[in-house]
Amino acid sequence: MQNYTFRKQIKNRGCYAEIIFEANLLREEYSALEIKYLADKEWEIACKAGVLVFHNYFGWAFSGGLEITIYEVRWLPADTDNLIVLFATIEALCEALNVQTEKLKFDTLNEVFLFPERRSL
Amino acid sequence: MGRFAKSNNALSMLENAWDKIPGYKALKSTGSFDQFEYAFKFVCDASINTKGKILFNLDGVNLEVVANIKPGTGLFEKLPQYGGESLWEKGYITEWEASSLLNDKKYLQSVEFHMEGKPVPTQKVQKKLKTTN
Repeated sequence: MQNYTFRKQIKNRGCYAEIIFEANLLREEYSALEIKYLADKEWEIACKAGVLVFHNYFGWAFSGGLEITIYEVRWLPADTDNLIVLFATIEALCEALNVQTEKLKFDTLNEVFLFPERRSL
Repeated sequence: MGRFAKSNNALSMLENAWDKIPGYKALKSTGSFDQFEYAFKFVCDASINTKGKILFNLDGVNLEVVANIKPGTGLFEKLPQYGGESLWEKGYITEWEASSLLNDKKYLQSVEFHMEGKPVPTQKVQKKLKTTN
């Protein structure tokens, strides 16, 4: 089981999400994606969207399939929302599966999330 | 946290319980709770105003940190003792909450602290903090 914490403070506001998950490469020859979501229903759509966006970005990097299990999403009132969970999920998978891009980032100065166009990666 | 709330027949902070507090949802939708501090204080005030009780689980809380938080310190205030980071950035949110309650007479009347699954008198918590500091 792996743990990824997204925690950024902008002025007097916090942005927080913690993703407890497991990412396994599958041996299938085709690029299948399996998502098991076992966490709080509140964040299911954002989390699954994060997994799908990650797979869109980096699915090509894996020869086989990918099995993602989300066990828990830790959150805070006021400091967590869908976009934060989505972004944290993508970052969690990037870190776990060792794929990185400078283009995906949270710009704290301008207070914006930056999502690259897939084909630019 | 959910288990603690359930075993005490209370609302948990992390199960959208705050939405059940009268007025919270309406205020939240106006964006008034951009800061965690305001949301937390609103919930504490609401508990008092509705003659409710705040159950606070101290298990896992770093009492040394609580003891060293000066009254009135903001959760997002950058602190020199933490290398210019805030209590929020250090992950000491629960510690800040405990300190806020302990330093406010108004809240103290409505708080019931728990340790190791049992309620502990506030005076005992305060004494423990003095010896920790």
